[in-house]
Amino acid sequence: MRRDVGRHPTAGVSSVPALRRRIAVGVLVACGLALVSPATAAEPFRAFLDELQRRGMYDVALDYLHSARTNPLISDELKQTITYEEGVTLIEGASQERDIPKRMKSLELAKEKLNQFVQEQPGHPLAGSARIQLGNILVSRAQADLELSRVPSQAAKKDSLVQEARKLFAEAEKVSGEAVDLFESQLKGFPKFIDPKERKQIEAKDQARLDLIQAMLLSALATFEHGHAYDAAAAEYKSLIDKAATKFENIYDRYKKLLAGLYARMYQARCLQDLGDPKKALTLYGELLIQPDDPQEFRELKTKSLGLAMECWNSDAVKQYEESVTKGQAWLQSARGNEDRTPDGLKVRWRLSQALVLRAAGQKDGTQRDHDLRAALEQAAAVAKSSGEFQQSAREFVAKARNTTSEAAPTSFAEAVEKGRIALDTLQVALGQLKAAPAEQAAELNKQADSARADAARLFQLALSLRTADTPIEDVNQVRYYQCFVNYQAGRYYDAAVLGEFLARRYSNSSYARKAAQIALASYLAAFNAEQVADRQFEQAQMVSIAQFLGATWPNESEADEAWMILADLAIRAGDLDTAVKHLENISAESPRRAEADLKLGQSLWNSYLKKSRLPAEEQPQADEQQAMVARAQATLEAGVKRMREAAAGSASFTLLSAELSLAQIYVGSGQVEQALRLLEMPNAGILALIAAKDPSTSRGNFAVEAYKVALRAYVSAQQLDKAEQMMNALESATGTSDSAMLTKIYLGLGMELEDQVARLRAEKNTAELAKVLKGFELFLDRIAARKEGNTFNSLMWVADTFARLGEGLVVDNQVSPEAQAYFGKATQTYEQILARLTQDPGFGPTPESANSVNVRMAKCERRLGRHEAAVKRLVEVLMKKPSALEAQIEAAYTYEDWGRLDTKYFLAAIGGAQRVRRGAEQMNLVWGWSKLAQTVQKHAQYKDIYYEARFNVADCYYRLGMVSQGQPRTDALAKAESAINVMARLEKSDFGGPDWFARFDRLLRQVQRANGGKGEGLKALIDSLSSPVAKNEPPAP
Amino acid sequence: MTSSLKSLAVLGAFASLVNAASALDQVRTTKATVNGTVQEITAQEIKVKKAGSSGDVVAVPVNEVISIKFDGEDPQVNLARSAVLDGRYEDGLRLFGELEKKLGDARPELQQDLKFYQAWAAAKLALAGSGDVGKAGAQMREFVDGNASSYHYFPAAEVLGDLFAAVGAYDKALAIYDKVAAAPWPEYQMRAAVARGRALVLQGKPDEALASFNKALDVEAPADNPQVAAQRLAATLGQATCLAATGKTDDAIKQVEGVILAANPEDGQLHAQAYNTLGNCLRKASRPKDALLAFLHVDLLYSAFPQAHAEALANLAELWTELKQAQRAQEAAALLQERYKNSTWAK
Repeated sequence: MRRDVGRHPTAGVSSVPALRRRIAVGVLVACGLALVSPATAAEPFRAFLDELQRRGMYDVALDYLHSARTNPLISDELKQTITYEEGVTLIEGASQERDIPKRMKSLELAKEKLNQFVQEQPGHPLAGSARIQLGNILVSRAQADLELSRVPSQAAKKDSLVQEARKLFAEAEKVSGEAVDLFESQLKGFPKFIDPKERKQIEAKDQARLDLIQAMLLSALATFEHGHAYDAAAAEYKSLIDKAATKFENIYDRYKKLLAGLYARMYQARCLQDLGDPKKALTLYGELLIQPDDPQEFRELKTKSLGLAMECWNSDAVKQYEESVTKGQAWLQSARGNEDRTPDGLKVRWRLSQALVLRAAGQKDGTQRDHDLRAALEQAAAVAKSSGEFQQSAREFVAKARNTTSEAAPTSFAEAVEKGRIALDTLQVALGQLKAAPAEQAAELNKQADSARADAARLFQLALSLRTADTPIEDVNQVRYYQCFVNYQAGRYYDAAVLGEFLARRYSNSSYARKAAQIALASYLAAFNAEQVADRQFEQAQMVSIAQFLGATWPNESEADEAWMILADLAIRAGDLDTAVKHLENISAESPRRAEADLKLGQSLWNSYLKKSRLPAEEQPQADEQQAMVARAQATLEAGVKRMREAAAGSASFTLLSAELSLAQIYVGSGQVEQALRLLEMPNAGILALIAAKDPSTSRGNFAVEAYKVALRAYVSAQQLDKAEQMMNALESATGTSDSAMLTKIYLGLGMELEDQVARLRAEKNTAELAKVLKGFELFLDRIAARKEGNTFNSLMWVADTFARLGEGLVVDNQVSPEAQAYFGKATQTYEQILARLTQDPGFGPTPESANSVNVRMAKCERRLGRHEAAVKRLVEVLMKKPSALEAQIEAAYTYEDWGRLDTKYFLAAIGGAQRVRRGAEQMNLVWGWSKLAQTVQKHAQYKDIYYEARFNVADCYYRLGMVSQGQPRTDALAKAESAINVMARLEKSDFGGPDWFARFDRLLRQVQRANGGKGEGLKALIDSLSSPVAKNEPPAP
Repeated sequence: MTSSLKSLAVLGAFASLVNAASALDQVRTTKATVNGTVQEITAQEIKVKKAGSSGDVVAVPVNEVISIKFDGEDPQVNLARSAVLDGRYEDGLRLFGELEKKLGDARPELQQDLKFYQAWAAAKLALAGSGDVGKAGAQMREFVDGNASSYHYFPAAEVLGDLFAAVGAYDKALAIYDKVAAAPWPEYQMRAAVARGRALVLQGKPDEALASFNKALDVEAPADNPQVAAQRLAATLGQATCLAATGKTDDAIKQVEGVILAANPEDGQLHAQAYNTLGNCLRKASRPKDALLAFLHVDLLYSAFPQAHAEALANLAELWTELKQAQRAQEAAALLQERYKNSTWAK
């Protein structure tokens, strides 16, 4: 039999707030009191609220409580309890909320309401109860953590979530235990006998008893839930459930004449059931099932107990299906009013359906078996119609059962819709199963899904053809919505989009309109992402239009915000930041997505700034414009982080922490080191504190490594060298000593970031900050290089590389300043130190070829120092050992190119290669040069960037050669430069390796064209001219 | 005559005495039960020759009569009658159906009773949405036309009017309510005026309806009569509906709130009507969320009153749709179809 998995153990049983009123009734009835006196009964406040809660309509209950404040039919006495009732309703509602962040938000709000109630009315009879509910919130929060730990996407956090849940349960046990002691002593303070005339004192004593019972129940429930935070095989599980059973038994023994005592008995039975003893549990449920049906609260207890008893009867250990069927049917026949639609009623009906199926399996008489199965289907169909815990399972059962019988073609609209819905349910079941199905079942499930999809499409089409003038338009729109969904499901995106838009715009008042608009949006997005769509402007324009429509038609709903986020993402991906900004600005300040939008916008602005700051000086925006970009990125990110921090209410999520990390990166990058450190070092909830505490939110991806990198840069800039060294060590530990390649990559990235930072500060003429950063790093690198112990190949390489990067940051237009030379000198010294260590101990490097890599980098420093000959000699040594070493080939080409500034012949060497050697019978250039480099890597996708770099440098070398030549050589060289780009344009059409390379080629071409006396039309004009019919030798269109 | 025969004769005399004592018609009224022989029945009163030595004939006004148990009737008749009077109409119809053959030779008053209760049960089921209004109307019309002197005449006529109104035959409904208004008792006059007002509301004539509800309230009637009090509140609800229909929604809402405050908390029927009226007024006032809460009162607390429940469900299905809660709208519509598929609210 299918088990209802993923549900909380007490789901559908009861929570402390839900029990409160029932217990209150029990206690007060026992004391001869009525809860509500007739004088205040004009509006059935409690009865209606109870019924709303019983039906799971917590949102409506909250609306009702809100309106109750001004309802003249409700007495002032009851109005005083509204804040309390809101708190309790929020807790109950939270227990049914599947979206965990929403549940947490409800619990937080409940806490505020209950605290407000206690503060405003400390002497109110419900104040004690309110305090107990605050304890109950701990249980609910723990349940949420536990549930979250079962979500596959949270697998990485599972252990910490479970630990947190257990901690909260234990805290709830402690808090409720203390409350039990307090209320017990309060109750003992009353005399045993009170004169009946002392009404107030009697009421106070009753209230104290009620508080005590609630606290005892909470204590027992917390233990029960705590037990369920362990695996059923664990010793703690047994021990805690045993302990809970004892607590419930004590409550029952003490209050067996009250409803609360009977509820405790039910829980005691549930404990026994959970401990694997359904027979014993049934004995206790049996005691409860013979209780009277009146008052109604007893009937509810019996219904709950019946649902649980039926679970036991249906279990493999008991197999008393007959009993289950008899008792379930008897209950159903005696159901009062809407009782069969309450969650407990639906549970009984679902268990009855299961019992009938189980009984049918044992029926020898075919007629009896069919009768049972029909009855089971009838019950399941009823359950499937109402939202609740079992709706999905019931739908699956109904879809499966009805799908197995052949049926005649529908002859009416309603019949076609009904059958279409069954096909749709079947489709969704198949799709749901596909997600978790092993490969061997996937084909069959896909077949089922295809068949169900085709059936659904056919039946809904048929339904529309069978509609009559009397068919309500909402029913017709429902069918249109289903058609829209089926089309989307089938990948017919344009059909789905057209239908969805029609429904949303033409019938915007329909309850299907909003969902239809969402499908239309998703359809256009899917079409946009489809590979075969070349021109995506149409889809993009449609998405914008739908987003605007969503925002205008349903201004307070989340769909429009979601749409704007999607569009902003697309614009960011296309590099169109201005458009992205416009889209994100449509999200209002009150929207829950505002914080996320701020973060996205801030990060995009920052990335855009970084990108623009890397452009050649003449193309960079003005300094004040750049400052404004940084300021805007920073302000937007700060606003987003603030909003998210407030919403997180003390807890930290990965999204929040990664946003804070981005902000810290901005701070460091823009010289606001103190701000960065304040953010990074925030006590308890800050990034470094949470990494140190191994908080699960910091364990995703390479978050910790990125955080250490930023912190390292920040500490170095702040010249807090001890802490910087700690970060460096932490970085190595986080990467793991075994993954040397990864560490190298990280250090390389760190060096590049530093180079960027230095270059930016220099370009912005922020000399004070630049000096500070340089000084800090110089001190730190010297310190690392000089330490006698603890240095590894990687740490020394990082020191050397970082010196080199600091030097690169100070190079302007290939002019190496004395400061830069000093850094390249220090880099060279460190590389020499490494090479010496490698000579002494070949195992010092991570690979046998580590020395090659060091030599290449050292050659680069030598190039920067103008020691071209030495550099070439060093590179040739490397290439002699390994001619195909790309790193060395590239550096050699650059060395010749740079050397060309001093002697133009080396430009040609850079392009065509040099250092001829004999390899076997052949003569060949040991240094390939840019042309051969391009040809060699052309067919290898992984070297795409090297290919464009090489092609670019061919043209660049010719351009530089032309620019330093005169007369015909100049004309020839410039013609070759232009030709080189022209060839690329013919080969590449419009791609050119992405926008960055396109921009570089474009820039170079304009320079070449201008040098040739042209206007500098650039690359786009060249490509356009190549694609014209004349250029392509094609006839003009008729 | 031997002593034994004598004793038999004595016994026989005793037996006849016993039979005489039990061979009585029992007229149950709101005040007491009158035992005796029903001598004459009209639409206004029942003349009963009382049992006992005096043999007085008393005239029991029909508005006080609950039921009559006729001398010698099959015990199942009482069961069937109780079922109908308790609102278990389907049980009542089944039991009366079984009795039809047995009662072929029964006295005419009892046969008339049988016809009335069958027509009444069918009418109530039809009005609640689980029976055929047309068939029930024909059945009740036959009874009203053929039994003008039945003590059931006025209640039967009122229900016939309700059935006419349910199918939109408002003129016929108004004509028959006028006949009910001819009854000599104030509560019946009020009932007729209230029913007339409701039909006029359905017809879209709020001004005329208001006049009719006002007329109901103008009827002079003893304040301590619970039926009169209930009709007053019903008329006030009717007034509120008319006020709302003419745009005076605030006044209408206050009026309904007044009814709820004054109503007996145990009077579920009145509460159901009051919350439906409140919901309608709030809808007119463009306050859909408040209206939803009002109709939900009926769905959650007063669902035992089928006509009111069907009305509430129909409104809820629309309001949930308006508030973009498609799932809840579907659930309300499904329940309406499931329980009250023949109701005008389910059309």
